[in-house]
Amino acid sequence: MNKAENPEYCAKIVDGKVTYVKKHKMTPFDIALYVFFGLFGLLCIFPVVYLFLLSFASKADYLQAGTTTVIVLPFHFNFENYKVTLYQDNILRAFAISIFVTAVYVVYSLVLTSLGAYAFTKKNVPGLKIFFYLIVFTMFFGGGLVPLYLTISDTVGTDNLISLIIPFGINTFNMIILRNFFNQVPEDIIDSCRLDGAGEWRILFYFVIPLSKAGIATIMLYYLVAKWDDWYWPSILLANSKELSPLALKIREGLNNARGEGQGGGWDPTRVFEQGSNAAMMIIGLLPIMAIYPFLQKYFSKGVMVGAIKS
Amino acid sequence: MERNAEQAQPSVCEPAQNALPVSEEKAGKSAPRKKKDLWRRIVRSRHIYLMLLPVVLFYIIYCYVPMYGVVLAWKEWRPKFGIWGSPWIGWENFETLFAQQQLTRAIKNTVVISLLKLLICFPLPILFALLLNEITGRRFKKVIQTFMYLPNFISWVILGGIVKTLLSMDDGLINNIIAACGGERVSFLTDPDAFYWILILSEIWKGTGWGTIIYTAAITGIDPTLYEAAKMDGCTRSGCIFRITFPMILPVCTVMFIMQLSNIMNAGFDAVYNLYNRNVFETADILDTYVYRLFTESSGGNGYALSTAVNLFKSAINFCFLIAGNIITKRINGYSMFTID
Repeated sequence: MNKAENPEYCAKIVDGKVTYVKKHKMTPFDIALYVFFGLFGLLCIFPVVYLFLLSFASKADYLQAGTTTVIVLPFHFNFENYKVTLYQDNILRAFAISIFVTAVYVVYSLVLTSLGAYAFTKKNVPGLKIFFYLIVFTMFFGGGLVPLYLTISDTVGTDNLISLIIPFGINTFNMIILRNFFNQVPEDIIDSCRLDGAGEWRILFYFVIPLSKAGIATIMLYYLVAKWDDWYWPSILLANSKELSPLALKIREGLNNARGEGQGGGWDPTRVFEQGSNAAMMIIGLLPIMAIYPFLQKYFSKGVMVGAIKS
Repeated sequence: MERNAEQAQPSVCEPAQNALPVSEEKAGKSAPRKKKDLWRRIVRSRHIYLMLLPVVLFYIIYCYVPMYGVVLAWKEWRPKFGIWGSPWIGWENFETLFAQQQLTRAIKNTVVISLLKLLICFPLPILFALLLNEITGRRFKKVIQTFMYLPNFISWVILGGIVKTLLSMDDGLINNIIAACGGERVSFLTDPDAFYWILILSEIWKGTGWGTIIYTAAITGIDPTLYEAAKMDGCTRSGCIFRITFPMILPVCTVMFIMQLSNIMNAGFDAVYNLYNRNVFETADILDTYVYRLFTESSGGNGYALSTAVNLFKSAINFCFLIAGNIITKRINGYSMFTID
């Protein structure tokens, strides 16, 4: 029987020629795998979907869930929960502060990390090894919370936004990952650049960084998410200036203090409920990450792999 | 095969590839010549040193200066005098701490939570990566991976909020399901025994998918000819998993295990702090949350010094585990985690 007609074979193009490869047969094990991972995938996104449902539901929907529908479904679709959140908690201001801090931080730390990562790809630089050892050591031993806090308040002060940025410039782990990416750039390219008269700075910023796009994207996502989600240091460094709180800290405080289902303002108190406005607040906190994730994801799943494997 | 196994090790501490200069190894060269060589190399690398300057400054100011600050553990904190000027009091801080029941409770909880994580959360990603590798549909795999990695990017603050919403006694989803099935509503959030499981399940949800990424990377690095040869010799599918894939990623697993082990005293501050409440302190309060509370709730007292002491104690134990783990890996795998060349 001709392979092209046999249903057990499928066409594949190898080196420009059509060849026929035997199809993989679905065994019960395969089906179980598909079902298992399908369910796991759904489980992974379910809580986020549930938050969405909750944030658009009204109080009646929520109460109904306890008796009949079990899961909260927004039969009375409305934006009241979002209105409450935006009016009551000054969320927009916190949102703007978070965007500002995260943006500045990402640029600052990417520059600093790239400098370090590039320098450590060099051979034949006296003393480099010692610096590298000393830096790796800091990954495993540190002074802890109080000494770092005191150092920060001595150098950049507290209760300002700069104190959230400057002291956290490099994450050693990220620097090592980026260094592995820079190591992938072929030596020949760097040598020929040097022959053409490019200095180290030009080589780094015009050749090595553009050639390591996946690495930069990966590290950028790490820094971005870390800063966006950080509430720990803001809670310590901005203890006396609540008006500067970034979004993550605002959300933490909002979730822990019952805000009641306040009267007045521009919303309908019969529709608002605490869990709903909490959900709305969490959705607002998730939005930027969710917006960026799909774009960086393709780089970074590739990126982590190159960074993680020694070649 | 051996060579491949070595290639697959994650390179957290990959060597700086600093080959020794040939000139230093060549015998018969006079000392001044050597010195001149070194000087020439230093001058030639001046731009590299210039690049390193901000990096090194950063590490000195924000990593090494605070490292000196651990001496606060043996001092009595006086805000007016700073770390330098505060008076030495010997081991008094440690004595005060170990006399408190809170610290022993925190140590117990930290170790229990870490061990649970090591037993449950550590092997799961390996298993998932092995199974994921068996999925033949490329598009399906990609979509599932996108879904699986997502929870990692949801912060613990929000995850804590989600967990509280789902588990709330009166109208949380889980209790609604229990009630719909005719059961009694359970107050999960105030039950100290339930806390461990809430924490572990949240960790699984957040970390398992993301954890597979490093093992998946290791699996992609396996030489495909191994599988071809095995198939020729009549190796079954499960045989391939247990006799090729798993042994090939074992070195990565050991390194990850050691990394986990050296974090035994870090049970995950962010996770615990966003999930616990005063009702479950008995099982939930860990060293990091204790440090944080000592620090934030100390008003004029010696909380700063006490919290530094706890931190030092924690780091010291972690460091011992790291060193011990590294010696063991060296024995098993034949290389240290920190070799530089």
